[in-house]
Amino acid sequence: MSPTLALAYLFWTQHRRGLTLLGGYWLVVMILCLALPAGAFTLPPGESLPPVLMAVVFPCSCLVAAAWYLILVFTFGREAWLEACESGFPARLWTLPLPTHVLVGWPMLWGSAMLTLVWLTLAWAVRGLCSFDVPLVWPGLLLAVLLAWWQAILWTPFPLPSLRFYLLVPVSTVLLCTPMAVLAFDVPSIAVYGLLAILLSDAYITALRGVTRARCGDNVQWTRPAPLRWPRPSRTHPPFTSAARAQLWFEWRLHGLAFLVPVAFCVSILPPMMFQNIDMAVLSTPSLIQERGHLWMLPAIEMVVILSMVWASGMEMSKLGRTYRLPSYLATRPVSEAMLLRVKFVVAAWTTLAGWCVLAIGLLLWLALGGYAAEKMAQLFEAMRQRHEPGLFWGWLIFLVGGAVVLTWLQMVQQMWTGLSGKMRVIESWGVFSNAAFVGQIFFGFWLAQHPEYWPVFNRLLPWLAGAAVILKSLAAVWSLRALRRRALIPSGVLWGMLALWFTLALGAFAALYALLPDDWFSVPGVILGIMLLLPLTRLALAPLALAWNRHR
Amino acid sequence: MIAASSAPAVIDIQGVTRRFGATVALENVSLRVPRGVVFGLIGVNGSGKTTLIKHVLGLLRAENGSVRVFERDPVADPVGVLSRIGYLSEENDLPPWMTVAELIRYTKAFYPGWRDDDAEALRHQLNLDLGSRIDTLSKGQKARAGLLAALAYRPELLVLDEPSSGLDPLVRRDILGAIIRTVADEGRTVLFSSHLLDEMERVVDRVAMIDKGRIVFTAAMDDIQANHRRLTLRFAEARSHPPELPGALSWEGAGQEWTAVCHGRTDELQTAVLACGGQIVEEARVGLDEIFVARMKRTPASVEQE
Repeated sequence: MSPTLALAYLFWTQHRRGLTLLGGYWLVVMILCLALPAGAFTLPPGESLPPVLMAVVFPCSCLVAAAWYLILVFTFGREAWLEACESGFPARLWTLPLPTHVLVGWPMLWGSAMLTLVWLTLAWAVRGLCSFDVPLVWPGLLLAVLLAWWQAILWTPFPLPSLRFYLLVPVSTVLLCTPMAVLAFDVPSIAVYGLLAILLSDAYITALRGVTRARCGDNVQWTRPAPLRWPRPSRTHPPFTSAARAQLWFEWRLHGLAFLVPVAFCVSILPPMMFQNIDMAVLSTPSLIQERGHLWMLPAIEMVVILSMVWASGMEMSKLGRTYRLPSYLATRPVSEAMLLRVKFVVAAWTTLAGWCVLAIGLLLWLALGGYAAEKMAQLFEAMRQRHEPGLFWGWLIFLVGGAVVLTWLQMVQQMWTGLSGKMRVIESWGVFSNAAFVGQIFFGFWLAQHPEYWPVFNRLLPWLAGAAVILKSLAAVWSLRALRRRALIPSGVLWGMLALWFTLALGAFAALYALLPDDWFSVPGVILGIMLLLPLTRLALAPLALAWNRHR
Repeated sequence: MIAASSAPAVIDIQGVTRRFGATVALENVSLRVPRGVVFGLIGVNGSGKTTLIKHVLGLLRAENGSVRVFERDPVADPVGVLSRIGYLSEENDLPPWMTVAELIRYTKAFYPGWRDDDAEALRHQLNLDLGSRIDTLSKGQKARAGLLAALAYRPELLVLDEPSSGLDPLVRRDILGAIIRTVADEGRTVLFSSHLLDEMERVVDRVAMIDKGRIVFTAAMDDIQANHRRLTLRFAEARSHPPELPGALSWEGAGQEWTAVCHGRTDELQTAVLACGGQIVEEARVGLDEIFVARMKRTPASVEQE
């Protein structure tokens, strides 16, 4: 076996399960795309909104999961420590009798090829569904450039801790904004390819230099200049008043910023989305898109939800996916699983509130600066305010904003159980299952939208389907709660408190909807079923079980 | 094999079996660690030492049998057990982003018995700088930081899993030995696993040898030293194989001269040597490492017979 094939074999053996799952997932995506009728993403003039969103959300949702996983694999991201000064390239490979350009070049080449292939297949599959030309080559190359720069940054040693982490944000922002710029300024293809080629070669040279330096131990360490050295807080801070406080500090230091920084990153990419004034002729729906430019905010909000899921599954940005096992230092602290989990829930609440504050400040700031989308937003706000009674309008606004904050928190805590299990196979399997379920729902939505003859049947079946789902969910919740009681992982009082909180949230949502929805829209069984399906209980109860499984293997 | 003692045991393991897939990591292990002793756990890599220690800490759940530490189940009652244990792991996975000062501040919050003056004295003794981040420390310094975090609250049971890795010989000899003796002298208990048997020989009161997941031998260190001898025997005629000598654990040699590591009282061994036609030409004490090697060489069948 040649050294290059041996390196490829290394990736395969290390990520065999994940890559196989990804391959299966991609196959399903392809089949779903091919099964959709031609022109499914086509938007007839004056048609309703959803197909536009689907045209963006469906391929993006498929792509994000696959691209993120491949970037994680080919950057050696599972072994990298973003905060550290040292190179994230596995040092064990440096002792191989191979020149550095081989160690750097081949993983870059394979990763780029895989990502480009992923885009090519997706573009090929969806181009028949859209009424506009899906670019075949440059988005794939852009993904390759993104990977190459992540590799360069992760593999280069840095003179200061955390510098790598903060460099990744602007570099990724610039690269992800490239599609907007290409569309906005109608950049000729040759210029786009030229720019991407330059960026790719620059990334390779940077990575090569970084790994060469790291391989011979040439890691420059800067000491902070005296004015920038703040006093060590630990020398002056008083001791923690309790173990819970100490654990809260620990969790916040470890995970708190991991949500805030990506949210700030999302907010930073809003301007090019919101303030573009693109001739959307390429999308064949110029008027609609331009009139509804504010809808570009939706991807940003969706990103917050996706990030909350990523955060919750333990894939914190500070250490990518090094390990999900509870470190023995933490596992041997004399605290209960209930306490460890309570602290995690509290940190999730703090980081949710802080994240939404950052998002709100960012949105207000960009709206204040004006622009096409800002103007449309203001018009929409005013129109809605005038159309509805003040009480109803503000009630809805508070309900939606409050609901979004609560749902983000719920999203975080309900997804936590996978990361807490400490088992990579659980995390990967659940990730694939969730994404596939999401894509499947969208696919079903498309199919149903294209077949109005089935709408009456679906409408008749919907309550039964929802009822069956609620029964299944209730059974799973009962099983989880009984397991919790049997193992005494959570004191009975806390367990009852958890149930009381769940019922309070459910009742609150019911009351709010009762007050806000028009009478002819409000259906008691429908609202109850919806709330029961929306509010998590089983996965919350699974969290302590998963943590105990991780702690006492 | 169970260490015979009627005193209440700090650690009481009965019939524990643990499998990882097809691999049997522990097989029907029973062990009692009495209060106030330094208990050494010896075994080759992969023999099951760390697995056994993780059962003591509750990091692994016993598939069969029972584990009691301070008469409690460490899985069912982690707070009650872990608050009385200090643990230094082989992996030494302290949070790399913490400074030594933060480590002290954080760890202190979990232990009401934490003594600032002890921690400060220990920090000076171990030569640790408060402002240093854990990830910038050398391997030896990380082990020292771990030791500080494990010792400063004066735990009733100190569990050290391969603590010597990364420490230089001077530190090992002076600091570790002194700490272990101090802890043991105060009536506290130490469970200690190591490959460095000469180091272990200096500090342990009792030893258990573990091989392929089974406890193959356990005894007090004084008994081990008193009852193991290396005997060099001479025979009148050359032999193609070693004689059948009761108590012989391993043989080396050829022809007329054979050397054995033996277990038993000196007078009994002398009688047995005469009975098989040999003569003792040299007798010497053996170290723990030589006893360990001799016992590990033995076949499972001979262990069963014993």
